[in-house]
Amino acid sequence: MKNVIFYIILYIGLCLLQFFFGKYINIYGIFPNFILIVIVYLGLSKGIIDAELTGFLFGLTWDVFSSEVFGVTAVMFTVIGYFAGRIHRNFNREKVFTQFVIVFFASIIYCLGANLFYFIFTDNRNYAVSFIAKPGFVNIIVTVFAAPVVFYILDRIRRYA
Amino acid sequence: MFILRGSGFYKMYRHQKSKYGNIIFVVLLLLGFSFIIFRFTYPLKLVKTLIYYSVYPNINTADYIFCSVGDFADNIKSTIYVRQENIAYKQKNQELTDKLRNYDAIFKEYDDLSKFLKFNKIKNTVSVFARISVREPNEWYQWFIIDKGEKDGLYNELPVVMFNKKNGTLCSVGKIVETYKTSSKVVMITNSIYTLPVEIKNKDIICLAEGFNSDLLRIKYIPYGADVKPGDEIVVSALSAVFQKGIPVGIVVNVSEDESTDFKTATAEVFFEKDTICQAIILIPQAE
Repeated sequence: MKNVIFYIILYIGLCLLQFFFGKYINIYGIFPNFILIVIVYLGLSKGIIDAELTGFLFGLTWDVFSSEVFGVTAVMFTVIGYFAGRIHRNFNREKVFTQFVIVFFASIIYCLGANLFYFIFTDNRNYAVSFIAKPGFVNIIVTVFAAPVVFYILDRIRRYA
Repeated sequence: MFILRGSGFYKMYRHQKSKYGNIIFVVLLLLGFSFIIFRFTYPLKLVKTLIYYSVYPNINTADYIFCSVGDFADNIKSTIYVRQENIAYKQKNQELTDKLRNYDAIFKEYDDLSKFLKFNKIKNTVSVFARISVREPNEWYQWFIIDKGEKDGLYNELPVVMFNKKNGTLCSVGKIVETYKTSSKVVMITNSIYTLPVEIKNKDIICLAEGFNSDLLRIKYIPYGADVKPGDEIVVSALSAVFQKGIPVGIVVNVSEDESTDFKTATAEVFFEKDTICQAIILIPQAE
């Protein structure tokens, strides 16, 4: 029951943070991808099933709120959740360096995969270079640096829950 | 359930969980890819805008909805157009069917009348256009060879005509006497071995045209009292087994009246272009 409440609160809180606050408190369109950090966190702490299901759900929500190709974010977050869950026994998630590295690679996979899908399924060929473009790369860096904070907060919440 | 880490049960539990994880992963991926492939983006956009419009109705949103349903509306429009076209084509089809029925009735009537009046029916023919490949200068008015043969459906005794630019009609040239696979030999009506039953146009005078290896024809067996004069047109008569009745042959240039015989003889100039002839038309009669 506690788990369910935790997930519901997490879902609503993250949606508000990412889709509502993200719209207003970003700096030149740069805002950390909190959902991606949470999926990686769930993968490293809870395993494959929780991470991929949460990733899929968050991905679908993201797709509903965005105007891009429906289903791309769901697929990418599912993949990231699956791989994060696969390696959850091989790394110590409490180490900041591990968090940096895993979130960095997860962001890279997300950006590359999503842009590849957009490149294939839309007429806009600018997606091929959007990843290399400044805002995309800065977003990855910001997400990487936000990861330890998010990991710390979620650890705390779980400990008190 | 409490399971000790490192025990056999724990390994089994982990293996089971990993298996379910993989299965769920595949299912979710398939679901995600189906969303992408089946293009749910536009219907979703439309639903989103409709929800937004129901919460906060304004002109811009309504306009956006109309823009979003562009493809959908276009499809409906196309369907209606196709339906209208279909109705028009059906009407056209009906008209053509009626015409065909009328044609059948007329054809039958024509058939009956021609039988009743013993009238020569117009034969349906297929035209084969051929180039003249060989024409010997010393046999200029006797033979020529065309580049069409058995392969093109030709056979002996087929009439050969050509287009006369002056009067815009087909005029008789000769008939096929030898057919090969890709060529045929044509004997011309001006050849001395050729005799063609003809008649004087509009005068019902039946006579015979004989060639004498020049551009002229000798018209024989004209009844003595017949009114034939230079300028009269000669056409193929109904007695011809090769040509259809009425095909122009030539024009009378001279009439000789020898009192010692019962018939007059005339000389006629052929209609076909004697020097520039390079293409011929072979008329193949079709079965009714």
